[in-house]
Amino acid sequence: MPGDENGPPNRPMRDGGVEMLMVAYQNSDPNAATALVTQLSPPIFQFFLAQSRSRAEAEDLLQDFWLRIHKARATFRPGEPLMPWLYAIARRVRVDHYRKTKGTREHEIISEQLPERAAPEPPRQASPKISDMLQSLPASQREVLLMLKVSGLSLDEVARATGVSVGSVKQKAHRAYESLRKRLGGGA
Amino acid sequence: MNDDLKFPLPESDPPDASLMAKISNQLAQSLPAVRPLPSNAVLLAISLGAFAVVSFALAAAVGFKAFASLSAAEMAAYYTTVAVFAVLFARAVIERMIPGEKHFIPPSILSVAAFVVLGVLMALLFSNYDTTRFVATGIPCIRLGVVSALISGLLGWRLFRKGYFVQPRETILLYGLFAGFLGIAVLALHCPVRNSLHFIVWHLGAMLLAGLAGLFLGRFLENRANAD
Repeated sequence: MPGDENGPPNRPMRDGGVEMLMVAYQNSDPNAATALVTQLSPPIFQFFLAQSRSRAEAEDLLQDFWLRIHKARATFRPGEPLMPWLYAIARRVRVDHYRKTKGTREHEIISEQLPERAAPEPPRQASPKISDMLQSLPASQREVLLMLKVSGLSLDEVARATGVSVGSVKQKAHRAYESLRKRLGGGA
Repeated sequence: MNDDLKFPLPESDPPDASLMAKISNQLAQSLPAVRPLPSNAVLLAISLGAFAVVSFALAAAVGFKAFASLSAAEMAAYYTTVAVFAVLFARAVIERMIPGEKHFIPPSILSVAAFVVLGVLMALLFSNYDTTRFVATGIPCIRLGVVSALISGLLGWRLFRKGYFVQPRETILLYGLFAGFLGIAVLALHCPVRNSLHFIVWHLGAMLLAGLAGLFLGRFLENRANAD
């Protein structure tokens, strides 16, 4: 993994540039829309991918996310932090998708046991072991960990995005770390 | 917090460029300028101003009969409590309209607190628990409370509909309770009945009904959005 192994690899620029693009997007600037999609899609996609069953599902979520952003863009106020706003919507997209597909998931359990696949997916760069371990975490702990460690949000930003207190975020993150350490056999 | 995580998390795995181009094109197809919602302070001022105007207008239409039956101390306690909860409900609704906004108080605690505090206050203010003509005096009150809630709910919807993207069910429940609370405010200005049971059943009942309406509307809109 390039850079600091504990650092946030996906954090878009923090200098207010994204916020300025958002304001331009609200003012119907198509170039700002394109720039936002280019800059923000990778971390949001990573957030979805780590919680999805497949890359195709994460791509669907990403498209749904941008449609929601488009509808909700008036609720972003210039001067307010953008990341909690974005991740609150991303989180909602994932929750809605989970609810929508809950019934079909149960039916798919049987078919997922079959070895055949329509086409082999390109191998993910992530370590499968880490990905599996992340999948084994409770959803609330996993999303907090992803926002903190993959998306690079601060504790306060995660608290705002998830609608809970900073103390609750710390607790969930701590439990996630403990759970992962145990699975790694006492800490790597 | 002990967060010295010493193993690599998933590396960046970007989406396809073609997908991002497709999304950009979709966004650019319909891109009218939008005016951002005002700050929380402005939204709060608008909400409370509308709350005061609508509740006074509706109470004026049916008469400020409560003024004659309440002492100055009772009015101070009653109306201050109503005003405080109006602020709290307005703030709670606004916080949930904006994605990623800090939440001051959970809606469950706020709702329970409103019912308990108002119920206890009325029990302390009015020691009359007589049930003579209980239903006959109660039906007009709950009807006025529900109609007031409905009118305020419809009036505020134009602003409110811009913001229930993240927690629709919870937000619309709170919105229903806020509208129901306006019904309580109208009744506080209008109803001359000094009876604790009357207030707890018929006045708080109007707010409960409005809250239930918000709950069902929230579920309906959320299910409809998910079905799209």
